[in-house]
Amino acid sequence: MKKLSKAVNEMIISAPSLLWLTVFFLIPSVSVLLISMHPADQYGNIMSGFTADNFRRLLEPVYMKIIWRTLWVSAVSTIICVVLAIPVAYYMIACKESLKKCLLILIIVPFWTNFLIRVFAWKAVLNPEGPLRHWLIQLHIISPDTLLLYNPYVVLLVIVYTYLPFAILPIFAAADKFDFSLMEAAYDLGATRTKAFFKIFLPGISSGITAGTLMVFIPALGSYVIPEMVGGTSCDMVGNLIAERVLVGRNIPEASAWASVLLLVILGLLGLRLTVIIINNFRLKPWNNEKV
Amino acid sequence: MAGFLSFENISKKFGRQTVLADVSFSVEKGKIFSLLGPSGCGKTTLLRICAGLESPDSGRVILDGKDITDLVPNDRPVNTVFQNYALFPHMTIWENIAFGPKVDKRPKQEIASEVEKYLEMIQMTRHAYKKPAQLSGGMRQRVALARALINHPQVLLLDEPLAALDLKLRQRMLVELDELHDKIGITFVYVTHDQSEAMSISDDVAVMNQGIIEQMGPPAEIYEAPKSSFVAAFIGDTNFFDGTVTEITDNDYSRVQLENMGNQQMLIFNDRRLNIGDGVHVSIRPEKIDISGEQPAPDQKKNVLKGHVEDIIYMGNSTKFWIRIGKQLISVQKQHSAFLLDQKPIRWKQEVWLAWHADNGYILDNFQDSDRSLLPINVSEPQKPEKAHKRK
Repeated sequence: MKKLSKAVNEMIISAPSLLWLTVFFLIPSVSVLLISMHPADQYGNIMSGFTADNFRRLLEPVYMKIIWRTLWVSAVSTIICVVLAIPVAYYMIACKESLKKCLLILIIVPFWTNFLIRVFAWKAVLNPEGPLRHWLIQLHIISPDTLLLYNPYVVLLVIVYTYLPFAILPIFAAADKFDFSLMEAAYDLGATRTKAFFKIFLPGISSGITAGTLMVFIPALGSYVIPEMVGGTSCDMVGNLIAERVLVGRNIPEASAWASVLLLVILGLLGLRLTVIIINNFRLKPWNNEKV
Repeated sequence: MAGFLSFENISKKFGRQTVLADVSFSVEKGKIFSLLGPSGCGKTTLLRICAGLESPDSGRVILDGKDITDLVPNDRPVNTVFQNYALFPHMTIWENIAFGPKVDKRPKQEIASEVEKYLEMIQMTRHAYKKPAQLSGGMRQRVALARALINHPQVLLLDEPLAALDLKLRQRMLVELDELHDKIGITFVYVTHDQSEAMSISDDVAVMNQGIIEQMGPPAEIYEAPKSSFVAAFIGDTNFFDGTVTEITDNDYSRVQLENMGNQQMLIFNDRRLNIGDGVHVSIRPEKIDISGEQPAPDQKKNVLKGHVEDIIYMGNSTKFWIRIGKQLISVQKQHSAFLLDQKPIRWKQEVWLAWHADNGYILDNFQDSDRSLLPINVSEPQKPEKAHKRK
């Protein structure tokens, strides 16, 4: 009786979130995947029947270039974000409690300004007529014919700027819980500071690093506004392609195919992570403890 | 001061708080040396200074003739067993033990055989591929030991290594530690707040209080001949008697008048060259006092005083009595020789005779009134303890 009511209780408690995820995540994702397998008529409407044409088109060199750009820009910006976030978190946890709170607020403060406005601000700062470019030319850092806007690197810069807090927060949370007596134990056992940092601190905050990586990589992969505003036409990413297919090209199935690609890339990454966890767990199972 | 490991005039402040005030002592090679004291007395800071995890404001640490004060922790031939063991949670037991030799870049083959050797020594070969979280407290403690010892330190530092274990396990690990020490023969510096741990394992004990060493010596000397009221009260239980010298009977003994106890007289061994009129504080351990329902035969060197039983606490291996004489409550501990075959049992409120040899009273060089609070019952002020029969 008690056990049953416990199970029922658990179901009642988790039902709203399950319902939410089903209605707003699972069903749309599956429908996007399904739509991507339907052909489209010349007006872009979804037709009956199954086809792989939408995916076949993605293999065309023009599009492969965009997929490649999307992947490397997302990957590099994720790496930069995580690499920047780790020292920030390392510094923050050493701070006094009051200063720690101040710094946390400072990291969150940019979110008080609308995302679009912040990206637009970058556009103003990097504007060809703007003061920054003018100074850089005067200081002979860039040549007079270099544009600061409309290249993949500026897209990278703005993505890093936008998503850095998403990397800092989970890494900080993990580092804050890290037991620093482990570092002392490492020094005591003969490790240098660098060695202890890489062998003990980084593995100790690995959960935060994983979370930070996903928190940056996933939204970066689906970037649309940033490449649209500061990247110009030559820096399209998959996000822009989807928008173009929906709004201009009027081909919903093809847009769905693009969206599915992004979804599959992310699912693939999560699956990889899950496999690693499972393998690690398996290594710790009692039947595997006996010496080989 | 010459010794294997010497601390010379170590001082340390954290902010405005003095943690160590000019502490000097030295440890002999191959001994177990304990730093004993209440929390906040500076014992752990001293250990951390030795490990290099803290640097002293002034003073030197000398190990085997070499000044190691300014060496970073990883360059010191000492290793630490931390209070919470600080095992690396993401590594297996094998990897934890191999950490030191690995950062030392010893050859792989050698590391493997060394780790196996130490795993065997702590009887953990079976658990080599488990993670620390899968082990019990006692196992973790042994891993922490092996992880430190595999580096062949000249000194092993132990920071309250048994504090996280329960009583039975603590007693067993203490024996294991002692056996281990006999086997490998390196110097141990052992930090603890538990006097029974320090007493049973150490060759020498330094009792610390508020950043200074109150007394240092072999456990028996510390227990039997405490120099200060702090040492007497912190280690074991004791009675403080406050009085004035009224008579010097011969070279070795003098008679003291006890104001709190209705001006009764007490004979004490006097090796301090006291003069008539001097105030003295005497410590007498509860188990040194005999208690009896009948008046004992008079003896020249024996003090015999009459009092009333105020409380009786049965403790299994012994019974504790609280006896009131005048304003003073005296704690007396009596071992049982044979159940029901003892002398007539002593009952609550009964009139009893206390007797102790004059040599068992120990004059304290250094008496602080505040140390009375370390005793179970404030013995100078009359206060009613809970009645024994009400405890049921």
